[in-house]
Amino acid sequence: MTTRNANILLVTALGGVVGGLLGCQFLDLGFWRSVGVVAGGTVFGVAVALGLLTADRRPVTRPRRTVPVAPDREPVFARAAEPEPAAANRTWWTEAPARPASGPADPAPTPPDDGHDVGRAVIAQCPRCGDFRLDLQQRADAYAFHCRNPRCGHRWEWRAGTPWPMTVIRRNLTG
Amino acid sequence: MEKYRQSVSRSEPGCVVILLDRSDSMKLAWGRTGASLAEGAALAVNNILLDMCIKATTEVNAPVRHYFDVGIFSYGARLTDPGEGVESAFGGALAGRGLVPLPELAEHPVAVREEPSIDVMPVSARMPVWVDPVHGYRTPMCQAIAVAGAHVFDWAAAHPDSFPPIVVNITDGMVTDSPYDGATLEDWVRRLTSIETNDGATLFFNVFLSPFEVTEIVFPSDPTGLPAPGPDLFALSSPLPPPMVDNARVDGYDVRPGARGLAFNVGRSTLLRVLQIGTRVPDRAR
Repeated sequence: MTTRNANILLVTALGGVVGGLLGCQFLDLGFWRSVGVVAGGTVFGVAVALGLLTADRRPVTRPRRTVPVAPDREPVFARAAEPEPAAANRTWWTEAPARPASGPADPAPTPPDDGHDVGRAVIAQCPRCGDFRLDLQQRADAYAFHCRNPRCGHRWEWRAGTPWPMTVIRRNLTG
Repeated sequence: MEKYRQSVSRSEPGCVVILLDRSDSMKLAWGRTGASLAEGAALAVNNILLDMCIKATTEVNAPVRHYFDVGIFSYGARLTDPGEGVESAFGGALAGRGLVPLPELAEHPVAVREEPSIDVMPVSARMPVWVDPVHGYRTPMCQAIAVAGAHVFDWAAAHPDSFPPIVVNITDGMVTDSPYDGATLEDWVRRLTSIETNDGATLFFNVFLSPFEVTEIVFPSDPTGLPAPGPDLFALSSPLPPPMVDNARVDGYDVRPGARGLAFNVGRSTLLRVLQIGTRVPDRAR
């Protein structure tokens, strides 16, 4: 039994005792009426206690109001929503096969390479703070980078075919 | 054949599921950060989702590649209906969705906000938000595994040659619904980790948050000396597979043989590092 439950039971019992004492003090009831008052009070007390015990009144903290993202362009990846598995009513652990069959089963079709320069593409990273948020300007085969990390702001240039500048991340600039 | 060696690619994407505790105790302040455990956990989850989107972008302004299917399931307070339960933690266009392809996730944050740095530094940056901090009610962890397990099961059946699903459980408390549907928490974890691809069994990692500034224990190889519920979480956590041992060592952790995917009493920056280590699978641009 939790402390909260014990407190509710204690309060209910005290309320019953106080009610009984007040009834004896101020009312002169016959035997069967007294029995009725006691029985009614007991049922009422139990109902109140059960109601308090079963209702969880702890607050739910909701997130602050969010700013919706303006859909300024079409989604790159769009598809119809798939029906979600009805997980709550499903005994997936009894379904077969939980362990997939090994071997050259139907290979998943490889999606077409829709990117260009896939073989030599890299993620650009600021050589000073390691941040990936970069602005980029291209002129012929030269590229001018600007790190958008407000603690860094590093600017550098890179020409295709030359090595990427050595990256030495300064921890005090990361974030 | 050696397991956990598959890399992620568009033809063989990976699967990352995060179980996010939204129980009442997540309202507690997290150390000296001034924010609650719920706010810190949501910030770390949003950071790791952005991290995954960035790493799946191989060119400037190119679309995010479908390297992962991602699910975030919360347990405790619900947002869709009042009361306690398990639900997809995504909002907006992704509300109610289980596993979402990374490109679609990247396109549909619920907001782009000024968010504080994950470290205790007075800086902030505008970043997309997919998950909001919420707390209330108890900790139905078994039900969370049951719900997430159905999605993981279907995903593994559809991707038999992929790196196995990675499930990371972020919690600050004890399970309150064990046994659930006749099975204990240990049974539910056993059911979850029995889901396999040809590359190995589903990985189940645990991150235990503490509101107090106590010693962090990351990737222990022995439960001895762990305060409760450390030994129980250790027993439930999967051994770290070789790629993640490598990740952890690169990040400076002294990972010993037999280390488990458990981080105990972690702070905010450690939570993000653990999530990065636990969700980083080598990719193969294809």
